[in-house]
Amino acid sequence: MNPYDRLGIATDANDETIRNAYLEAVKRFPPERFPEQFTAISEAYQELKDEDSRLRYLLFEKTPGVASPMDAVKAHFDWSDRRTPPDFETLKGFLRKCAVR
Amino acid sequence: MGKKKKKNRSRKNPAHGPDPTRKAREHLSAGRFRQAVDVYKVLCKTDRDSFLAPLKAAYEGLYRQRLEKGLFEEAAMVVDQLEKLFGDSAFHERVTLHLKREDYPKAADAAAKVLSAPDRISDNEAVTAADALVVAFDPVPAESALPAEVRQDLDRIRSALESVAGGSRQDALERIQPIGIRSLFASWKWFIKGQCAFYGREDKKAVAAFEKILPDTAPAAAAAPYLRLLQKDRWREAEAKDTRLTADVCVVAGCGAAAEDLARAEYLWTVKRFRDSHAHLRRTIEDFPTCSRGLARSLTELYYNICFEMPPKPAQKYVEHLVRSASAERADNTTAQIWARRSLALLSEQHADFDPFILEHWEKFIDLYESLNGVSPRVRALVYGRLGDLFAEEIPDDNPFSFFFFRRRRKEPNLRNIELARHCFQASVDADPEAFQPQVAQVAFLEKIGDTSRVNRLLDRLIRQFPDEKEVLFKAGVRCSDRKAYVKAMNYLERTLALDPMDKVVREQFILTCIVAALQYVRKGNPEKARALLPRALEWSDTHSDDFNRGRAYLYARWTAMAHLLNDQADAAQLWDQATAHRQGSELKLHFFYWVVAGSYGVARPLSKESEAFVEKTLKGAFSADTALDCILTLQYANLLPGWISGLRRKKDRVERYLTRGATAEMTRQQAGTVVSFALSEECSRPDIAGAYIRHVLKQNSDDALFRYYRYLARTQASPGYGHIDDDMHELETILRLAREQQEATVTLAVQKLLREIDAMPPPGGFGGNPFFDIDDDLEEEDMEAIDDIFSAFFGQPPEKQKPPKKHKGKSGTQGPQQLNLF
Repeated sequence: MNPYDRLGIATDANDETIRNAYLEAVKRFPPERFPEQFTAISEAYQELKDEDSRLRYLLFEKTPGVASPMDAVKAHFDWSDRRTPPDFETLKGFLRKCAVR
Repeated sequence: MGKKKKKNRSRKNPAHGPDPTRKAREHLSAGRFRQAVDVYKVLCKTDRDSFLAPLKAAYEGLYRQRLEKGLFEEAAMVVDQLEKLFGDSAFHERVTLHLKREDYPKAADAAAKVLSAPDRISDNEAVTAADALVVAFDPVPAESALPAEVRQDLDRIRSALESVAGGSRQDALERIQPIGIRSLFASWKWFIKGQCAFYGREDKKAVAAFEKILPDTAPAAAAAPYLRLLQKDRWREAEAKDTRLTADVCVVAGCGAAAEDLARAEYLWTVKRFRDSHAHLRRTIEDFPTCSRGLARSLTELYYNICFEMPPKPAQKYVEHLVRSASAERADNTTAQIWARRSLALLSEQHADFDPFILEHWEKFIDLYESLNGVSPRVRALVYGRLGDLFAEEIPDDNPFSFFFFRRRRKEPNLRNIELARHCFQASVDADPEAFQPQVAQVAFLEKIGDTSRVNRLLDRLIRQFPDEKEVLFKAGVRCSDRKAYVKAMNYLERTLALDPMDKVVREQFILTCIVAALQYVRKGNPEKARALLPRALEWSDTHSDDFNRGRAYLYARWTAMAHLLNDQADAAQLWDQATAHRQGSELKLHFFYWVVAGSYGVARPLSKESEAFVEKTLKGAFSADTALDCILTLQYANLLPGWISGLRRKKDRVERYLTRGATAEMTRQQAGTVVSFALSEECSRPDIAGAYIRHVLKQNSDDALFRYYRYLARTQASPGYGHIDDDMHELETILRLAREQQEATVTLAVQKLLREIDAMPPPGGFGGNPFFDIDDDLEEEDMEAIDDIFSAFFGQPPEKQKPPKKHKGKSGTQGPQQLNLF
């Protein structure tokens, strides 16, 4: 998953905003309780901490980040701190399709 | 007039044959429901009571078959037949049929009829009817014969679902609370509980609730994507082929708008149709690819970076597809072009394409990027800087154990493409003249190729531009020291230390500069200035270090030697006392060190006699591994010092004789390794010493990879050349296997290199013996050097004679590695 979403920042965020987002994320995922998430946040910060790092990430980073499109969906879901239910019409449509499986 | 066709009575009668009952049963069990119906219909005419039930089963099977195939009209006809034959027991089939046709009011009506006679249906049929009522979401007519409690529970479930969708989880839980565990809607209750826990991020509770749902029901199908999302593992291949589940997961995960497209893309990805998967997303998702954040960004990075993990040919095809796709007519395709060009440029690097092509790809990328984002000096500087680093890469040559071999170390580095590197580093600096990093990179490159005059000029400019940059100040300090401008060097290094006092490299460089400067003052007859440098050096030394450069005892020892040079014996005695007081290592090491530096500085022999005597006495005594190591370390250090040290050759002989006594003495494996490593190096004139130590260690553990490697090297040194290649290969392969098991990384690398070299050797006939052996006409100079080495091994090139040292004239060049640049 891309580092901007890991830190929850826009791609035009400045150094200070990024640092604050990093500190907030570390408070949310302290290393003793969330070692994997902490590592992911720290890596994200290293990749984005200043303008040169951000540009290097954009230009030269070669890792795909996830293994497939659905892994991207799962990664975003896992990382999101909000889960919003679908609206009622979408839910109805979804349940109707489930009823005929 | 044509012939009349005779009626084939046997074909028209499906029950014709010796055993129609068996035939009907076979049709039914084989899923040939149409044929089963035909036979049972005929059989019912003869014995209705016996064959009515299987006829019903055949019709139901036929109905399900038609439903699965989406042949709803035919399914409806089958249901009509069922109703005609069996009355209102066909309502259950009608429920499913109407649901499939998305005719929810009719489905609800049929379901209400099913549930109004609960005694005549199975539990499964009742649950299916209840599911249909829920998902119909239409109000049940008041005149319906639905039992009151069913109606109540239905209302609770429907309103709870609406509350969940509206975000009122507590309200939903309150509404479903009265529903009992025996209710037809119990599974729906668990589903809603699971949903509330899921959206409240209580994942364990959610999983527990979902797992209580009855299987093969609508809520079970609805819970499946939630459960899948809550599992931590990656998306599995089998799941990817179930596009329905994939799409449902997207809906639940909040990507409902693109659910179908993502499911299709995932399927294509899983069956390795990567280009089709990419093309599908390009067609269907508006902001793909993107530079903004969000799921589209993660997908962009996936699709535009996956080529780097593919084998070369598929990767090339894939990237060509990305470029073609981006070039297709579309108003907003500049972002796609940028991503595609970026992938192409990076892939050309990875595939080690022709260097000018790599440069061309990146320059096209820069042009595209700036056409979208405006002129960007930083991007230009970064790209050219990266290319400079790429073209300035050293082509690896040396074995990590190269000092075991008699190859000459290259004087100049063998770089990939010096001219392009020079061009790119300059372009990087020109793109962003105010940036620090491009200029530092350029300086590092010029240092690598030995362009010292340009380095000095650039450093001067850098210092003016960036007076507080540690890296610049340090480099300037080192360069001034090389130019013998010691005062300036110390000034720069002290400014560097002010920025980072803990940096050991800077501290060591400062200390070395003080030493060199002090020696210069001594030679110029300026004792006060020489003496004044000692406290400055001590300030940055390490109190508890036994390091020859940074340890305090050794600094005092050096200044003792300098005091002797100045004929100040009293000062020398005081300084020596300080050296002894600050000693961290052994007394032998300090005495030996003093004797070496005194010889290097040119102190008269009688003034170091006491230390020499101490060393001699120790070497005559009983063997000790610690003493052996101290001697080896000091001798190795002595080799780094410039100038001729009188008596050093004899001291080496003494130490080597001492080492011969210790092969079976008690020592650690690491200590034995140090002795063997020394014995096999060029510094030792008796490589046979290594053999005894190697045999002793291998006697304790014959599979020790490091020592088996040492044994191989010792044998190769003793009889140079590859006389028995098969035996060598076998031994090396064994060592490689052991090294991998024992995680001896250095041995692994060295042996792999040796094996490659042996593989690349010419056939046993050699160059002259086999007329069919083609000599490569365009051998480059470095290859000729390698061939020379192989020949010298065969024909025993005499070792280079050691030239007698020139008399010391006051100035001497630096020798040894730069960080130990001593006078």
